Amino acid sequence: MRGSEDEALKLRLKKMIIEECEKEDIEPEDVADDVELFSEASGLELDSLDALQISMGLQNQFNTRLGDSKEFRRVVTTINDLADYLQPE
Amino acid sequence: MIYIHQWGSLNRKEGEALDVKAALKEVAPKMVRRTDRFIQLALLGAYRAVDGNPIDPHTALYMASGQGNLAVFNRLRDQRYIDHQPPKPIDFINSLSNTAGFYVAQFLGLHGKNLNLAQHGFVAEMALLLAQNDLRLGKEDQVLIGGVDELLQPASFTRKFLGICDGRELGEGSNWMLLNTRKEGALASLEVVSGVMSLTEVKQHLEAVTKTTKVAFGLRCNEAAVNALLEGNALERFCYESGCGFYETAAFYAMNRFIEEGEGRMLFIENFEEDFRLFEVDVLQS
Repeated sequence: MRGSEDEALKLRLKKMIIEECEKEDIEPEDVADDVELFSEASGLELDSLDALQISMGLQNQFNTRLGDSKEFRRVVTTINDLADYLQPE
Repeated sequence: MIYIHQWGSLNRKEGEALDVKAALKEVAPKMVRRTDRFIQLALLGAYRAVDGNPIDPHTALYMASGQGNLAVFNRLRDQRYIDHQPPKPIDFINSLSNTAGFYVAQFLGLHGKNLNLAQHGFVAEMALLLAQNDLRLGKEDQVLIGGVDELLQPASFTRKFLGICDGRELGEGSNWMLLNTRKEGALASLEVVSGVMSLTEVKQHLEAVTKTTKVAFGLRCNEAAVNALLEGNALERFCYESGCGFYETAAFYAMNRFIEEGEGRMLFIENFEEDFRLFEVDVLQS
């Protein structure tokens, strides 16, 4: 099953982002699957420091190490894209 | 002469409950994210000192602490040596010595000098002396000064770090005051004695002190020194100790408590190893 079809995986990702970025006022269901996380439309108001925290969260909780900021920008776009990257099939 | 215009205190004794994060969330919800408990203590104490009102943005900020943000160093150590992970970026940033000062300055909109002093023994006295000198020399027009110490768990760790071998109660606090050289509207005057004294010199100093002056002792003063200094004079003691547990910057708490009492003059005597340092607070109005 592709990651974007795996609701449990996507919920884990959302919880990880909320926890790592200390966005306690946001519920996982408030994070849309197909909206760019670092866009205004996401409502998350994430910045570069949050990107570092998410990168650490991916490493610690998903055992996935992103090489550099270029790779991070390519992989961490929407929840669906990130889930597909972690679980291609 | 320098003057105290505003003050604010946050104080907790070992065993008492205090949800710093929740309290800060009520007054400054945007400052909670990315801050840890030490920084939150600093923010809340400073907020209370300015009573939520804006102060001159050029005000300098001097923050003193006996142990600094030790909790974040413990976390970094655990991440590195127990979890075998690199430090979390936020923890790494918060481990810089003056991060708490940065957050306080950002919160209050200050862009003046921002100093951080952390040491065992005389840390409050040295910060006050530095503020006094800078104000008298005209280097600063106004200083927001505070002492912040966090009680880490387990308390035995803090006890060991502070070198407190007896069973006395520990505590934590964030006590702040606004200082400048203007008498008008001041709550109290402050005079910090610049030199270090021996026990004999303090005894001689006390002989010249007026009987209306109350004497307070720092929490590092041992009982033998207190008894020796009070022997043979009729000076009244200002006892604040029952209101706080031990923490390195409790001198700021004592000052605030004395100002809160509303009248009189207090000579504060602190002791570290063989040395003594003194300062005087004279309340002008409550």
